[in-house]
Amino acid sequence: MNCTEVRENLDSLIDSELDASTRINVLAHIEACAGCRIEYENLRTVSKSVKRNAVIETPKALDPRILAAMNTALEEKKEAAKRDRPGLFVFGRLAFGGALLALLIVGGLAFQLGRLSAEPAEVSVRPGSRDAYLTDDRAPATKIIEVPIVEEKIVRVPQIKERIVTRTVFRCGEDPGENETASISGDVPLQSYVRDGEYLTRADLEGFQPVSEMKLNIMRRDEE
Amino acid sequence: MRIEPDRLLIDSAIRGDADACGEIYLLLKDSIYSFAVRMTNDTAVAEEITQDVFVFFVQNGDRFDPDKGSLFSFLCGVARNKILNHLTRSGTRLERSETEPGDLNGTDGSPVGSPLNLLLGKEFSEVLEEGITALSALQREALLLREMEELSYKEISEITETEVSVIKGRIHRARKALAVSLAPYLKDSRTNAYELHRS
Repeated sequence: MNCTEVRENLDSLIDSELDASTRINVLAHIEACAGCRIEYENLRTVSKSVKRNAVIETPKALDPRILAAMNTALEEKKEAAKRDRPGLFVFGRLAFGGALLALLIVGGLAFQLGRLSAEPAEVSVRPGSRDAYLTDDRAPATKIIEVPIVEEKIVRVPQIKERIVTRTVFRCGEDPGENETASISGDVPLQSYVRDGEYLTRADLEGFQPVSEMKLNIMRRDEE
Repeated sequence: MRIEPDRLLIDSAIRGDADACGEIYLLLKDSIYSFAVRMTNDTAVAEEITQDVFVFFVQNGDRFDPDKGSLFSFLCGVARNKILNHLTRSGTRLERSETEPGDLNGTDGSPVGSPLNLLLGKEFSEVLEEGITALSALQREALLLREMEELSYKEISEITETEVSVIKGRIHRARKALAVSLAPYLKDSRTNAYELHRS
């Protein structure tokens, strides 16, 4: 390598952009050539100096201003997304109420017990049993109306140790009394039946309002 | 040294997490702001550009493609467009020819590294600042992205949509111009100046 070739590669050497063999050749030349060595050292000094001096800290007063502008832009973006997807937005707002509507119209509490593969077992869901009742771990003081499952049939289903079903819990009136659970549950017209291999209970929930989504535990008979 | 936000943080910010957006701002603000100040030589304009860049990220973060480079590179590209718009509006020339002597002159027209400047007591960093300011915009851009952010030639070429060989040439000319400006402060400056002019 001659001086011209070496000097064309000095910046790449400083910036670690040379392949290994070229790097060795350039370094070997620099070692032997005082002129190229001086140019290399000075360019490297320039590089380090710029590196050291280049970064300027953002003024502190700028942070709240920019963060506020970012938050505003974020909110506007979310609002725009809602406007652009009105169907989805409405669905999201009404999803909870929709659960009630679905119950009233379709009239069923569907437990998909028949599709999980395993050895079959008999599962019984009894009216009034705590095992079949809705529980609310998040708000135990909430007065809820438990929609009971009526034991009318023994359904043959695959073995399931515990089946969690998310469903809607209903409350009647503004402030149901302590004993209202039982009385109202008794007042709820229920009809249980099997359709397409699924155990369904139809509940007439007119006058009830959804209060939250709960989890329903159905226990196997042999675990009772 | 800039810390590049990790992928999880970036994804959260793109999904609209305000905390993640704020964290990304804190990680990258100095780099973007420094780049804008150095390129425009105007702190007020640099503040506006910095704000615009991060608001752009909030609004259009889903355009970021990690397969095409880092988030900083993406934001730097945004900043660059805004900077070039500003420079164009203000009538700044982006590039000088290699032979144009203006590259080596200070803002007052006198040679930055001349004895006059030394007699005026300019400190090394001040001379350096003037030297950086005196570079053409495109040379300064390439040099700053390399020195400040330690981006590779390839990354710089992607941000600036320019060939790698052109980027290499701009960095080389920028360093040579600064070396001449700083010659009185460098070792063997007389030899160095001679060597640099001769090469």
